[in-house]
Amino acid sequence: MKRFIKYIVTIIVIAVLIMISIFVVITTYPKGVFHDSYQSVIVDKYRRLQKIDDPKIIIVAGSSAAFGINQDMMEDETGYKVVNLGLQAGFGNLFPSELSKENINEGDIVLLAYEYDWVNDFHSMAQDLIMSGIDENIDMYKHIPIDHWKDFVGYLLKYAEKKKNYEGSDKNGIYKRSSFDQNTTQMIAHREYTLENPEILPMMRDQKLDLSNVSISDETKTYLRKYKKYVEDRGARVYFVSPPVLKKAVICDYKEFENLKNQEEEQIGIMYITDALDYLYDKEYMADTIYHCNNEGEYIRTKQLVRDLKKIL
Amino acid sequence: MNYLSLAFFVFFIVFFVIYYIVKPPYRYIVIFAGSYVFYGYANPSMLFVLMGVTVISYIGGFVLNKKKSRWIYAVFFILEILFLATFKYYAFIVDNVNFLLDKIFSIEPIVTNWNIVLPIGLSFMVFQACNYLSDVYRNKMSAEKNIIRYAAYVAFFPTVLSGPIQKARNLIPQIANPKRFESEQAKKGVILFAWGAFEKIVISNNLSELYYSILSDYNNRSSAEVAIGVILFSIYIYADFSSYSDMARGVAKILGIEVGKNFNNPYLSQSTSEFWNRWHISLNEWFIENIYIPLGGNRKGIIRKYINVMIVFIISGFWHGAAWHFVVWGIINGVFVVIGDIIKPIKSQIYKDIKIDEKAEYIVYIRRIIVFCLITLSWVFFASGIQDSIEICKKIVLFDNLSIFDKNLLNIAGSTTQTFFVLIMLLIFCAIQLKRQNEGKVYEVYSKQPFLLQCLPIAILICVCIFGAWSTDTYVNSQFLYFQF
Repeated sequence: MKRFIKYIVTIIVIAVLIMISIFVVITTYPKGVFHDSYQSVIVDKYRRLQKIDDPKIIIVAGSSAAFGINQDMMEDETGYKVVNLGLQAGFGNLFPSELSKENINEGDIVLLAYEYDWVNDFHSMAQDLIMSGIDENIDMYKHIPIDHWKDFVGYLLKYAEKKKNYEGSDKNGIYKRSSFDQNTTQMIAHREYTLENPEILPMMRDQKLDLSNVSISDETKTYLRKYKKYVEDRGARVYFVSPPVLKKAVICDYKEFENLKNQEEEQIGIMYITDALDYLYDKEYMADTIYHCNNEGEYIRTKQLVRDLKKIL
Repeated sequence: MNYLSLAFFVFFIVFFVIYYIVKPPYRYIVIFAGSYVFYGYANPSMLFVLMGVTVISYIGGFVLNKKKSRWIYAVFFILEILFLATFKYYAFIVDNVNFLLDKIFSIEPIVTNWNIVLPIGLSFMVFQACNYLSDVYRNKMSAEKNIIRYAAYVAFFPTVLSGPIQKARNLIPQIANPKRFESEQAKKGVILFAWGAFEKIVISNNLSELYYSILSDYNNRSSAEVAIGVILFSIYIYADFSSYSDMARGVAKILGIEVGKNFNNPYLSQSTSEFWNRWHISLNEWFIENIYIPLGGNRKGIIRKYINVMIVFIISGFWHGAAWHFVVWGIINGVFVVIGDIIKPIKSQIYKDIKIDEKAEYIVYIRRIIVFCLITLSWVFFASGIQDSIEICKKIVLFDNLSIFDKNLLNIAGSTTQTFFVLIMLLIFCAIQLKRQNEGKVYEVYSKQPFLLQCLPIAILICVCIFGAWSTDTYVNSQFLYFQF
């Protein structure tokens, strides 16, 4: 029996070592392949989060926060440092939420500014975007929940192929690393309203927001309750805030926003400190999707958010 | 519970520990408990079906032990088959009765279809219970008095879902008198299991997607593509079924129990009757013992023999599925076997007359190719409905020769790289299956390697399986084909 157990254990150890080696080689070699990509900015945002121990505001969201937060203004007006983890809703909402746990301290304020799709699909994680975003920054993989590991392991070989075939990010558009300030990770690219332009994908151009009969899944509620406890156990606070949305994309009754807010507050226990209707904007403040602000919209949205934040500061 | 799941991995570790801690005379209780946990894991209500099958055959064995009556045997045998028929064929019977009522008498459907859920592995456990009745009736063993031990036999978890179908006279003694743990046997079990997992995840699952993408769209595919699709199905069904059997054998071996080989390189057969002696061996033996021989076998003249063969194949077709295309598949294979038998002496005479050695290598290869083609064509009726099968066969028989020069064939798997990958995997699969003809010798060579070199190929196999399993929705399509039977 001992020989057999030794045989099994040795096989398992060798298999684990092989898989770890493959993982390390694929993610770390060659380095920096996706360094010019839009999604690689998540590394800078994460490093900024790690470095700032002063009381800070941590924004957890998708790209609506990347396009819709003026960090300097918020820092000046609130006196808090701002770490904006908002970058890419395609990561899924779970990933930035987990990343935010890296450095939450007493006195911090966490703002959950998820785009409204979160109620339908909170737990999905887009392994292609996440892996090409964090690439050789292996320490960030610790934030991938264990029940998602199999998706990332399974994607590993396809990721290697993607790395081999990568030809660089879009040199002309916004969606590249150079659209962000290298030090503050603030989006600095010029944005205008282009949603109705012909080059915009129809699925983006025709996207609508309908919150009728929306219901938060039990799994999501459980996660967010645990997240709230995690934040509060560290002496910090967590609130929901509204993302910016193109007004004409909303096709449901406005009272559905109130319904959602009530669900969030009653069933999860996280307070909503904004009025969603204040964050519905006309097209002159928006950019290339229904959630993306242009430069002027970024200013307006941040001003409103600061005003709402001051109620709880 | 699926073999290729974390749940099974955890279950088996716990089971293994408990099994070998418990004293040998009581290990059957562990098998019983573990098997019921295994079977009831996904749907505990199905345990009632398992219990029903067990109790009926247990009582049958008890009664037969006291009185060897053909009628008693028949009653209990039919009761077991009725169990199977109710769950498996009720919907089929109802649909056909309603169809006939409508077509012949223009009457609206009067029989309600209750949408009964087919318990997984029902065919296998019923046939295993029937084997027990047969063994007791034919005095090959005494009835098992211990109902828990008997229940452990019926529910034996390595084989309950998809075989190999066990003979009571082989398995019950092994359950009753478990062997001491043997490291070499357990190692063989691990290797078999790892290979079975590789067959399933890398070969079967990839081929499943590929053949389906071709055959579900056969109208828009060339003859060459359809032919490739059909060949891929042939290999897929072998890999899928063989994989489960290998994993079942592997798990049983780790427990020191032999469940028998279920496949013996069937595609090396030189005749269709040989094929059916190499394919799903346990099912074949079941049909021979329980249908063919009781009908008279080959003892009542040549015509009766052929009728008995056809009856067996028609029933086999029905067993595989409650749909007419399975029956057609069974009939086609029955016809192949009968014709093969009829022309066998004619072929021998022809070889003699033209002075060709039947056993010459090139003749053997030609015969194997012909048998493979015939069996593969019959598989078309297994994979698709009758109408589609006829159209697919037409496309192959009326082959467009120019289609083999179509450059798109190189991208049949999605891209040239993927096509070559599939080809290489198939070659590896076939090569290893060929080597396995002599498993003992292969293991002898393996066990002479240094310890780390013994562990390394298995570890690599596991890594390949993990990458393969997790890179697709394999945990979804890991449903083995034969589970539905």
